[in-house]
Amino acid sequence: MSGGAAVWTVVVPWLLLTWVFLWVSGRRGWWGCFVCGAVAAAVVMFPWLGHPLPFWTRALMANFSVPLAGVLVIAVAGRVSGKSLFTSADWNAAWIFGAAGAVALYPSALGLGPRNLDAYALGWPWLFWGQSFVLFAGVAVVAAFLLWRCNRFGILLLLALLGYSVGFQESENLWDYVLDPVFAAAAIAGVLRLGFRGLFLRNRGEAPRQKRLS
Amino acid sequence: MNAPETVVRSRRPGIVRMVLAGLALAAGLAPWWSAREEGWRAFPGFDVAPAVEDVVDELPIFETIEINPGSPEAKAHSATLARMPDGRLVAAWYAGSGEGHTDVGIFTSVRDPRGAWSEPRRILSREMMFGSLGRYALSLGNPLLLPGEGGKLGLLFVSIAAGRWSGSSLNLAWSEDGGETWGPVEKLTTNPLFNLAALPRNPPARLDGGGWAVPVYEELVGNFPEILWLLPRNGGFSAAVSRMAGGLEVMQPALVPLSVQDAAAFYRDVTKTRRMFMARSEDSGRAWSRPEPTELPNFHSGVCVVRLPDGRLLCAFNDTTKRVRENLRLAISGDEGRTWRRIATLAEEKEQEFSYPYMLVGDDGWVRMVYSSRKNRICYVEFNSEWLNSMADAAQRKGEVP
Repeated sequence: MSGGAAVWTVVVPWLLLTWVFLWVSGRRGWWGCFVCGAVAAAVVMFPWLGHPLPFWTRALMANFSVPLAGVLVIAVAGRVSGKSLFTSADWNAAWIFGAAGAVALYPSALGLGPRNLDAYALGWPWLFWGQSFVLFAGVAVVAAFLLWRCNRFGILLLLALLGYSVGFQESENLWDYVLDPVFAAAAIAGVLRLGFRGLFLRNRGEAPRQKRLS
Repeated sequence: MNAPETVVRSRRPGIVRMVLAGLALAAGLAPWWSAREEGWRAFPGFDVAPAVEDVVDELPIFETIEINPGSPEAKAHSATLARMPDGRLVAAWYAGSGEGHTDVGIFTSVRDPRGAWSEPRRILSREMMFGSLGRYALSLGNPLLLPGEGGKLGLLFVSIAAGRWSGSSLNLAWSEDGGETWGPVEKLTTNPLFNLAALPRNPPARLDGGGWAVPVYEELVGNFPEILWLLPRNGGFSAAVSRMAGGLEVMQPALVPLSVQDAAAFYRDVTKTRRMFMARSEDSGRAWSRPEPTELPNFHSGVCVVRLPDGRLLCAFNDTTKRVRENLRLAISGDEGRTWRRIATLAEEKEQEFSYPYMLVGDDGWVRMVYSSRKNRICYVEFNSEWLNSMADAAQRKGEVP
């Protein structure tokens, strides 16, 4: 495991724990973020059964996606400043991208779906070079479209693509830079929430409104 | 004066947006485009020798020996074999108090050219992996040796993160001195869902121009076969997997290159068909036909199939449709696996287990094989083509398995 990958597998769990502690405690502002961040750092570095937390989490999760890290930074920053860097449209883009990616990727990776559909293999450009154009161009076009529309989730996708070019993760597969199971689960929950909210508002005869999330 | 300011204000974001969008397109397409040369070479074909009509030995020779007699471990299983350029044989297997237990380690033994096997040596334990990989592993299993150039030897094996085999992922280590010492362990990422659950089992196929196609299988929700491509890249090897079939049908592929482009795969059955399955590829392993049952029985047990120098296929398998592995037989096919004839019984005993055969075929026509015997023994078998032909002739004359 390279140094960059090792640091990444420490930083992302720390961000995740910081956000969880902020959310559970209801704290906001710089002081709250500092306290929760410090507690999260202590939890991450504490020698659980003789080893720090990343030693255990890496066993199952050594490739956290860039969008997951990005939305955690946005969420923590929102708690600190009281204003979200993401509009509801940005969040919607994140959840829809993550949910669509999860539907395209995970059933195939479990051996389900059409026999010849191997979505994950497209993430190695040197394996099925011609077919992998669909994935690389697809992510690039989605990122470009979002950036053109001033959707800030596009920045996270751009960072994921740049990260893949640098190759800082343990994985050499593009999918692992743009999607992971944690982000996928959050995205599916986010899309379901969007769907329920739309259904609820339609039943009440109201149109869904664009709303800033804090 | 207001108009130009308005234009400037509206153009600035437009330029930023355009630059960012262009950057995104470039960032996405650059790695794809830079991989084009490797992409064109991705399926170079198999490194397979043309069939030779007759390989002559003087006398039929068949020998068998236990590699780990007196082993204190309650379980020894999933053996693999590699022949080094100097003629030595290296065998590796996992052993411990039981499958998935924390004391399981990877063991090796080396047979010198005179035929003596060395005392088994534990080369890897989960604790030894902790430092290399910086992560927890519950247990180890399924080693596979990859003989390289100039005495270089690769060791592919699984580490289990949690649970049983469905919690496993692939690791790779290299030895520059034929297995005496091993370098740091590298984790291979082969699945997007927590990197679960690929396992190797059967011999790898060498690729034209270097690298290996290693048959592996997934065992998480579905059971399905894949090929792990270890391709030369940037001075080392890059790992990527491609699917051979869908889930819930077959697993543990045995990959048999027939020519540079053609290959056959034989599978362990996980359906109620209770037959060994088979598929074909005509494009160097890139795409595979739908697995079809063969005439050989199989009840969820590993098979090994190799191509003999004369082009026939040799299969080692448990000859039963019941949930036991009380025998281990050889069958031979002269039509690339479509039909089979049983020729020999290597082991048979009630309430015992003989399983997981692993075969290598030398250029000299000798077949060298290891398999799990009686749960905690690793048996080594070698025989020459004369013995094989004599058994095949005898089977044909008698119409039964000798």
